[in-house]
Amino acid sequence: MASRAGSATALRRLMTEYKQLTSQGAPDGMFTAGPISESDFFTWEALIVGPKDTPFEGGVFPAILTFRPLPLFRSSLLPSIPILPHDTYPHGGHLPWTCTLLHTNGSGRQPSDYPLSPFKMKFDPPLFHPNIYPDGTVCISILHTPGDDPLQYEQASERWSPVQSVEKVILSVISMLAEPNLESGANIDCCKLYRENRAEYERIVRQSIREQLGL
Amino acid sequence: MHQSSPFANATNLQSGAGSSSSNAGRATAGSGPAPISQSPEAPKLRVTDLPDVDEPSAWPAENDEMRIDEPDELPPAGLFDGVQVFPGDGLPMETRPLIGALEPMATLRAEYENGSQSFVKQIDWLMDQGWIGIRRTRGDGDCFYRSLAFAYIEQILNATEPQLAALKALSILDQMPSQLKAVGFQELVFEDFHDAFADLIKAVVEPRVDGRLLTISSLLKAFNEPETSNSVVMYLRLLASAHIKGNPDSYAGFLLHPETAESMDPESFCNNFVEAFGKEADHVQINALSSMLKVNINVAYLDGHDPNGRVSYVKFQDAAEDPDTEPVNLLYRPGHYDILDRRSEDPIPLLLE
Repeated sequence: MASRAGSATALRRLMTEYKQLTSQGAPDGMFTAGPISESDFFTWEALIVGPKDTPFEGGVFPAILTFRPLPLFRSSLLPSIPILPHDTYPHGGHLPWTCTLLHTNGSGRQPSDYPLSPFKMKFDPPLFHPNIYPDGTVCISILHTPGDDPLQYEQASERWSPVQSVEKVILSVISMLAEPNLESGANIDCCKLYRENRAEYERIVRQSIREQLGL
Repeated sequence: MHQSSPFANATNLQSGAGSSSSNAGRATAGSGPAPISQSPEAPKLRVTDLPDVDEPSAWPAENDEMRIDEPDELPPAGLFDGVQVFPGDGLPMETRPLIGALEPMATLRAEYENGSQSFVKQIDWLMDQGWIGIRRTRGDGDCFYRSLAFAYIEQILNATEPQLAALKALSILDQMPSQLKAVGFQELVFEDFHDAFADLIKAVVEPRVDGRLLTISSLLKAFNEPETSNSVVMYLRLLASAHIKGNPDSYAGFLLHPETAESMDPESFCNNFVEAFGKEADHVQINALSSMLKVNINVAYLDGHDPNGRVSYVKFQDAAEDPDTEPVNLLYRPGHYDILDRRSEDPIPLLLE
């Protein structure tokens, strides 16, 4: 993929989204989300409350949101962009040199294509759910651009575009927890169990929540 | 995807000379959230804490790419999704500048000389009509939006009274945020993109950060910086989407899936084929932007179909209150848009600036 957005666009957008989430909170307190550290605005943690009247009720599920392509920018060689007050930057308030380095690495890739491209979402620890891969990665159409069809989504399914947001994606994931989409399953064993023995599926989910809570 | 043009009545399409066949493209996107009111409680970090963005890094890199004469090897077909390679163009689109310098139409003609003679005839016809220049864009699915945005701003710069033209455009742009909100877009999804586009036009009237007014040269540079260029593309996508969502009755029956031709509702059509980056535009999106920006758009269809070598124009004339407004002229080859020009090269100072 060629370079498309820039890290500055991504950073500005993520700041705005964070600002809104912090000042207004999520609907019904269903989740919280924000950067893990102020030195890296491109990795967020979300805490999602298990929706009522589902086997996930009573649990709180941490997930990592990654706003840059992997694994290219995992490299520890790349300095992270410090988030400092405006006037602490040299060069009249522009991003420091590290940003240029990120921009012009050999492949011409950008550190973050957000919001032109979606982010990645991974539950850690993984959740047992038909639309969550065994490693915890969430597979949902809203996190895929149109035409990006790893699981042959239905045409009517909602897709990623820059008009989506962290909030909208997490709300979609919450409704996915309540209502799995068996047409595009990511955990085949879980899909099978859900279809054939719903009670056992629900028991496993509840069991894992009790374990998580140390009960 | 070919559609004959049943679209004409509803959308002011007028076919020009020659055949009236038209080609379809694709575009994409998302749903509109309800605007959320602001709470006074301040978060730890504010948007205004962010440094200004003005990286000059992209242009030299693009320039380097422009100097490459031959690709090492051509990519296997289908390797790059959505990348078109035209006869003789030499380079895969992915290595082309996002928007190139003006070049003589004769170079395009030369590329077809050993190929389709019907294309050559049509190019000759265009040159006879005075279209002696072409400004090429990268074929990345965003070429229509990028071409239109560039040509739109270039036309302001070339106007008899550029400042007046810029102020007129800005007054139209000022109405956009409310229209975008009206169809459900959150401010956060469009504000940065709006500013990217509006700031370029403002620079016709007020000096930019570097103390200089916008010139064709700095416009070209800005459009080759992915950050600015893609923000502008995205803004035009949101404007097109807003017009479609805001006028569902006008578009009913024309929102067709580009592959299956199934009818779609405005929400999922815009989500999939307007708002998503990299999705090609077709008549619907062109019409929507003509209406939103109040700009007339003429598209010359270079399709090799006319036995007499004439070229069909499809005219999108939604700047109704000012029919004398010079239209933006684009050249369509199946799957790709470039900009037509009556000059065969940029003014010389452009390259020296």
